[in-house]
Amino acid sequence: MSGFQESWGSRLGLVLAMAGNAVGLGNFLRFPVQAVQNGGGAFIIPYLVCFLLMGIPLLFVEWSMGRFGGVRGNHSTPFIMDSMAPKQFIWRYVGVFGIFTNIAVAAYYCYLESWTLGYMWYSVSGQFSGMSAAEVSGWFGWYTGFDAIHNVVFWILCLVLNTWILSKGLSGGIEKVAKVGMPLLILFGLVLAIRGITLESGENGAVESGTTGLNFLWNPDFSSIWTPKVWLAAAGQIFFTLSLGMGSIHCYASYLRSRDDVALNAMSAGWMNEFVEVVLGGAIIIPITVGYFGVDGMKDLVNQVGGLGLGFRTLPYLFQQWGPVLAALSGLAWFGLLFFAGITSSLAMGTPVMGFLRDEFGMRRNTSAILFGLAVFILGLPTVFFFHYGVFDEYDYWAGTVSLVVFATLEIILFAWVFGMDKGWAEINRGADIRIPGIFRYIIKYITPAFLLFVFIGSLPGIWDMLTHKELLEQIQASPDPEQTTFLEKKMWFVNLSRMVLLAIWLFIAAMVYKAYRQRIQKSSPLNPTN
Amino acid sequence: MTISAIFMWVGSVLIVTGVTAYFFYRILTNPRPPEVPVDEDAPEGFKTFDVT
Repeated sequence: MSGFQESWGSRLGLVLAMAGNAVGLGNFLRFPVQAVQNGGGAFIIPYLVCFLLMGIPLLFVEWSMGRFGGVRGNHSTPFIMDSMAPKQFIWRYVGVFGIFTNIAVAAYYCYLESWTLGYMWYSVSGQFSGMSAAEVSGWFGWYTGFDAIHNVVFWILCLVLNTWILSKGLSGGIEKVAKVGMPLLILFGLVLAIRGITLESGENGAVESGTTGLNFLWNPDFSSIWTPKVWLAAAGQIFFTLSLGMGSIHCYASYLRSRDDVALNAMSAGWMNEFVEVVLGGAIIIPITVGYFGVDGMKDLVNQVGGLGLGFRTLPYLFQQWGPVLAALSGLAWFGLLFFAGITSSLAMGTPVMGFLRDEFGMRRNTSAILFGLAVFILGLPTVFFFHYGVFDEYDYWAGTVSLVVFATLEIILFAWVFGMDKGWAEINRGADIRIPGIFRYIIKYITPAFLLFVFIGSLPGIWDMLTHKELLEQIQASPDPEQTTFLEKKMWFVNLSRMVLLAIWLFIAAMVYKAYRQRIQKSSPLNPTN
Repeated sequence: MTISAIFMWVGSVLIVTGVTAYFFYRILTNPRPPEVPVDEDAPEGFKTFDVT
């Protein structure tokens, strides 16, 4: 069996790349909003419990699966899973999710990442100087609309950058970006967090102090702990923040050697993500927004525009209150940290696709990187040009939310019940630099699958509502304006088209997996003259 | 800030920072250099398939 020689250059580089894969825009934009909406400070209790019972076990499982497959020459989930249950063909096709998710998520995520690049540029060039809150907020609508061409320029720049870094390989590209990007992200995050916490009432027009926002975020409402909705939100947050169920962790881990540690590496990368999310993510947008809009104003903004809106529609305006120099520097730091959070994640999405193309179709690294870039460009076009028709949200919901839960639920069943917990436990502990408490063996076998099923079943009503366009149909029925009704009907058409596209991508990858499997059979056939 | 908010915030920050620092200390004091020289652009090819 011939395999390519690519591997990680250093252990620190691997851990930083894995942490970079997990740390994304959600650490700064999603976590604080989830905490505000689900019990404030008390949210941290279900959140950490879910991290221990679902996050850490799944990290162990995905790292081990990746190393197991990689040692056998497989760097993508279809054949990693196939190598764990070679007699059951179904797992090969379950593994299709591990490629599908990465392509489909990258298609819209790179566009989101390009906003941070664009906003970094416009912050430094003083675009927001002198604008009112409403103007800065409205500027976002213009930036993502049909009229703007520069959003396309920044998007293409972002795609080229991702493709170029991916073409440099693991140690020459991804690892170098992680080693520079992650420390810079933490530095920028610390500067902004200190600024947010130390904001004084009356300073530069602030109506409240930063600690008022911190108090609102962390003041515990313990009654919320008994609400299933809060546990579902905590489980969902842990799931998405760690990039579980995507296939990218498997792929990164597949470049480990057979006796390399997975236990300590997985814990380090996972906890680093928690540090960025809880310590830094919890101390920036809420304290600063409360400082200028007060608690009620911040709650209204969260309900209207969500975390993403706070980050792009509100903060650029608030930075302007600190004077032109600090505004430019704060904009650079804020959008810079979001950019590093984004690019370290999008690079991780390219690797499984490239691994599959290189493993199965013998492509060179540059060719596979360019193909990935092209695929993301083509599939991303609808998210860029029809953003306001809900294409972006549709990709995010089906590929970036539902697929992850489905894949993770199935992969843990494969690991704990099909591959077997005895072999699985031995795999996790092989070469481990830390002693893993034996209770995790039972958690992985019983509790984590139950947790995942709880998350999946809890999400079913929402999935059904999405599938049947419940919200959109209600909006159409309630719309008094014929123009608005036409827009909503058009939106429904684009939503349906997006679903067709996503289904077609999944089926296309499944067909490629089938072709790759047939090629493997032919290669190993005794009738093959090369054998 | 209320006492309970300070308690939740400081407690969370200390736990998360402490555990992260501990694991990173373990990583930094136990580096593992690559076993084989890295040749990232080595020619790839089809693998044979272990039908067993």
